[in-house]
Amino acid sequence: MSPRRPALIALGVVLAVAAVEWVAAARAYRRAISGADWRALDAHLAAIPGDEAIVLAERWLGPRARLEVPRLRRWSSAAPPDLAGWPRFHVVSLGGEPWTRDLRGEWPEWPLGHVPEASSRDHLGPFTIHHFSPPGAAETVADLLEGRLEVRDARGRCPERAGGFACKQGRVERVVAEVTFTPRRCLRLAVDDGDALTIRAPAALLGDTLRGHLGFDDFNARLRSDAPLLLTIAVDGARIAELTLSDAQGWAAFEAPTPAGRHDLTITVLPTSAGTWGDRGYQDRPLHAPCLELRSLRHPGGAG
Amino acid sequence: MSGDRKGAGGGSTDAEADDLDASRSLARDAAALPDLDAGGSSDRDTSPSPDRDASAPSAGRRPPLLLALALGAATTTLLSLGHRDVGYTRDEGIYFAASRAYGGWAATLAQRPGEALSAPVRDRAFAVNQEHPALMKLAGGVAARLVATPTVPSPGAQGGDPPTRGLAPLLPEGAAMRLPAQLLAGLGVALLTLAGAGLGGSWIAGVLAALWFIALPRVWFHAGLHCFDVPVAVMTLAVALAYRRALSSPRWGLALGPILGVAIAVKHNALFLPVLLGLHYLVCLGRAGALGRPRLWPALPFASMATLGPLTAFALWPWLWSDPIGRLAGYFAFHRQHSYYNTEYLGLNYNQPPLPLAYPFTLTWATVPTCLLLLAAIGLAIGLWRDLSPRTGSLRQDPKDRRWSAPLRPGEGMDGLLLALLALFPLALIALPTVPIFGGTKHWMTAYPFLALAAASAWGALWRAVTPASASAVGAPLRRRARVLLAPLLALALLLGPSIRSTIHAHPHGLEQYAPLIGGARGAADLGLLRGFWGHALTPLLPTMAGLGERPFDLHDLHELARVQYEREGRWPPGLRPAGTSRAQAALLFHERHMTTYEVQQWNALGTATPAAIVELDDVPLTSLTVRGVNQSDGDPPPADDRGP
Repeated sequence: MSPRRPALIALGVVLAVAAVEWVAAARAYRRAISGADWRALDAHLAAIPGDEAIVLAERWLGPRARLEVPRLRRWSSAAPPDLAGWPRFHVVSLGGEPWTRDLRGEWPEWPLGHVPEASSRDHLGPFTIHHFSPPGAAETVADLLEGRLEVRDARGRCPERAGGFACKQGRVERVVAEVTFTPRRCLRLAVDDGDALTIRAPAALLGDTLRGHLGFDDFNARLRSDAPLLLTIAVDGARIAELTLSDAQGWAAFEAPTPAGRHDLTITVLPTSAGTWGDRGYQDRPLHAPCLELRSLRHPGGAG
Repeated sequence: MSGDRKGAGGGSTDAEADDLDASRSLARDAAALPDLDAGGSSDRDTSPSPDRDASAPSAGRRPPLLLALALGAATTTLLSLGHRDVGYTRDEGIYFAASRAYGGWAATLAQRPGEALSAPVRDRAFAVNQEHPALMKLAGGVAARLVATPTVPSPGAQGGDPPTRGLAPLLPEGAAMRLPAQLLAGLGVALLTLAGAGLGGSWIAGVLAALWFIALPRVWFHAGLHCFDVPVAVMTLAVALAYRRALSSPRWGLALGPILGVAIAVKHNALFLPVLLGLHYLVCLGRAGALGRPRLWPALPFASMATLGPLTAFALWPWLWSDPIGRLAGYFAFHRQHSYYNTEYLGLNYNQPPLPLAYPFTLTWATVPTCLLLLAAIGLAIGLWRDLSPRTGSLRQDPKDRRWSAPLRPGEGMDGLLLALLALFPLALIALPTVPIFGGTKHWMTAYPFLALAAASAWGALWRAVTPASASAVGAPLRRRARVLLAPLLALALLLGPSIRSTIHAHPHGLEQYAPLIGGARGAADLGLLRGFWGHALTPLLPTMAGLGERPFDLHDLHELARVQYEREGRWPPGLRPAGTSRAQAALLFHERHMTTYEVQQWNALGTATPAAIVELDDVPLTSLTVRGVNQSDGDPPPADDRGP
């Protein structure tokens, strides 16, 4: 082979890659979404019934999406527990693919089962709206921690105050927490070490399944403690679930069958160590606080 | 070295001759670092190359000094003007405060040297930010004393730094303090132009080397800051070029130590250089057959680095003048026990080592256009190939008259190996599993000047190989010569276009920019790559913030001292008082994966998950401004049949 040939090939490859990068630069270095695109999306999503969830495939779009599209400001869009309990839900995607890394974990059967196929799609400028009606999907009967609750710790009843419960050994609040770097609307249980906390939902409306998640708030605390927590759930005094959970499990999902109808629901939480370990040993801050969400679901053809 | 190529006047139209010509030049030209003071390496080809002809037919082997100066000056000027839009980074906030202290000391030194040199006065000034050497901060402080426009009194300013006014007020205080780093960036561009022109045999190769480096979005971003990352990259280049000459020149051998000392006084990265250069030197000695002569081991360049280097660094850091051993130990301890940063890589947050080994290599590919990296890789490969090729002629013999002060002869320098060591070591170091997590590409930016030079060397070698010598010969038809001259220019534009476009488009958010093949900022967000880390993408929000009136304000990742700098320049809205998240009525949020913790704290405190305004790069949110009462979150309606008990 002529000695000139390898040089020609090398130069040709470099310049060909440069040409490809010119094209890639033209696509990458510009806005993909115009103001008109956002307005069109807003109008489109406003027509979707209020009891159906809408989530973003690309979570990083969240701030602008909430600013431009009021429908996406709901907690079910901004900080959903997962995609269980929605017979119909919708995924707004920019790249065209609904089941992004952000969203795959939101599907309750992932990673053991397949994610569902969209039943239809709408294309709206750069956006694709994927509509899902998964066969056999449960519906949410009640969000049990958003309703009326009675909270007690070892020293007595915790009075309800400013959207939360003020206990003698800590505080229980409905907040948005960061669990595994994802916003989750949940009940944050900021209580002392080794003290059991009891949460009672009297005459809670149950379906055929109780589904919930528990995770630990704040990456700083998770970095400095792996202490587990004991969680017990009872319906009318009968224990239906007992779990030992740690932050290694992330936003840990659990399910238990329940009798349908109105029943007393009691949740007991026992954090073994609420503090964290640092240079100066064990400290009470940052708090390694669990955050819990719990819903009753009803599957098609199920009781309740 | 005599040229194997036919001279311009002797151009042949014989294709075989051209091919032979090409293969020889490919092996010979690549990665031979030039002698900047001598107008080109003495062992280099003296024949004109096609694109050298294009630039200056009469210039011959003289480095394009005027071009280098022009590019350097343009770089400094553009940085000085353009970086007014770049917000103040967290680290700059601290360095600004340190510079005010050091600048005050310098003013005292000029007026009352005895007082300034007393230990208490010296220590009071240099205790601020003692974990980094003083040189750039001192230079920034002096620059502010010289050219800063008057600052406004800042009641909230930490330490109560008094207002300042430069002798010739031209620039805002922050811009004035950034000026020394910007001047060094200009110097780096000039050095790269000269060195690249020498390596590639043409002024176009010089331009390529300079722009390969400075036109990268992240290099451009860092080059304008009052920080140390681009300055230490430039000083590393200066040390390398001086070292190359020092191997065969006693004059440069002596100069090498002080140059290294200045580099160390900029940032600690330079401390690795003597080890790398020592390794290179031993291989060179071995290759020259002189390793068996122990008197050559501690040659003058290394003696200079071992003695004059530390002395220079010591002289430039007054903090060390009292209790040097104790303070030096504290300095090393700080960096040995550096805390781990949070960094996002492929969707995962890392805050404990090890990072994946591929991290610095992937991030380099993700932030530098692939065509530039390919060219650099070709340059490194050709350089190493050249170094390992059998030696010919006089280089095969080991002369008995090697001197301690100039141990190697021109041509024995193994420039390919030198470039490869300096280009790959910074990345390899960060890839080590025991190295603290830093995260940003700035931590291996010292590699980039050498990748740029490798690209320039590849450029020269490849063009020489593909261009028939006859095409550029004086006697060749004008049209053919014009075609040969135009081709490299078009290729240069093709090669640098993506990078330049990327930098211009991203400004002032170059730190958040990604390469075209990654898909820019959007592609990086999809891949889960770090978005930013310095709390600086703020300036577009300042007008909106000014309309918020009196409010307690959560600064999030904006460092209080960076805020103070805005305040000193009259840019900070006076009604916004720094406050914790729980008491704030408005808040900034600089988006990063691990910052979700603070984002949701703000949602809870402000009662909304919806920003009032956003800074974006290509649709990707960089910074959000959230205000209580603006865009309140809608509650979800309860499920239809949850009517309670």
